[in-house]
Amino acid sequence: MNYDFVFSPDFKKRFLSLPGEMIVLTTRTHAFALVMQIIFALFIAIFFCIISYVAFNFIDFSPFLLAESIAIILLVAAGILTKLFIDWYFHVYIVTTHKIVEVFFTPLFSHAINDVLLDQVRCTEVDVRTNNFLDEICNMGDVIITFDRPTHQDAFTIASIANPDMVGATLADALDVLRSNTSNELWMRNKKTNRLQLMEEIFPRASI
Amino acid sequence: MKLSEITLQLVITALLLGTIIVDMLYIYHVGKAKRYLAIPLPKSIEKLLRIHIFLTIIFAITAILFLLQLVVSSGMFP
Repeated sequence: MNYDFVFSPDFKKRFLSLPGEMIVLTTRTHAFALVMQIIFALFIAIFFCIISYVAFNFIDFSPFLLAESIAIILLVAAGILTKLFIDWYFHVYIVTTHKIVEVFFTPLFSHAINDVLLDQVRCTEVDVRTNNFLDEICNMGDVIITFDRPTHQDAFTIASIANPDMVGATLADALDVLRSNTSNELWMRNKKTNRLQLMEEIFPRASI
Repeated sequence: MKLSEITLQLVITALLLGTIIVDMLYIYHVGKAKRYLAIPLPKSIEKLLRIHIFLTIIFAITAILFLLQLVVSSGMFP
């Protein structure tokens, strides 16, 4: 899948909030997960076509009505397949040097954007997991990142992605580099200028 | 038999008209999501969406005409 959009200024403006922040990784769910859903939807559509064909054989309706019914079933199936693709396409994981974002948009139905600010948590584990035989064959799996938050432990799962080993290793490296680079800086949004600033810029140490 | 045929045809026409409305709303929301996320959709999928709504409109017009023909031929409205 093409990830060229990550270089577009609009995308950077949308997902990069701090000066000097860079995108480390962008990934999606493996295409195999989508193919399985598409196959299932096709089976359902074929099943309904057969049902309507059999039903119309028992009733003495005009053949035009049968053709129309099958056309509707195929139209709805095409709509569902397009929706499945678009849902898959708009489910993106973005890792930057400042945060991990999961974007999940199903247009017209729901949307969710989950952010984890990496300088506010301590990453304790990056686990890679493949669940079954098909996952192993397709090189598909989950990467689970465990964060130690001040109040509780929390896991962020990047589910069913391609090349989980590579992604896990890249993430572990990136998080390691980030941990060694991060000082105890705290960013705040200035209400007057609506701009992110370091805490020290807003409240200089000398003034405290 | 004619009455049940008309009823079925009416249901099919309503379904097609409903599909057109849902399709239009869906295309609008996909555009919104595209702009919000700054992630462009593949051209083929955009074409597929347009073809889908175009076919639905064609089918809906055919269904309405067929419904009218059924109603007229049933003799309910001399």
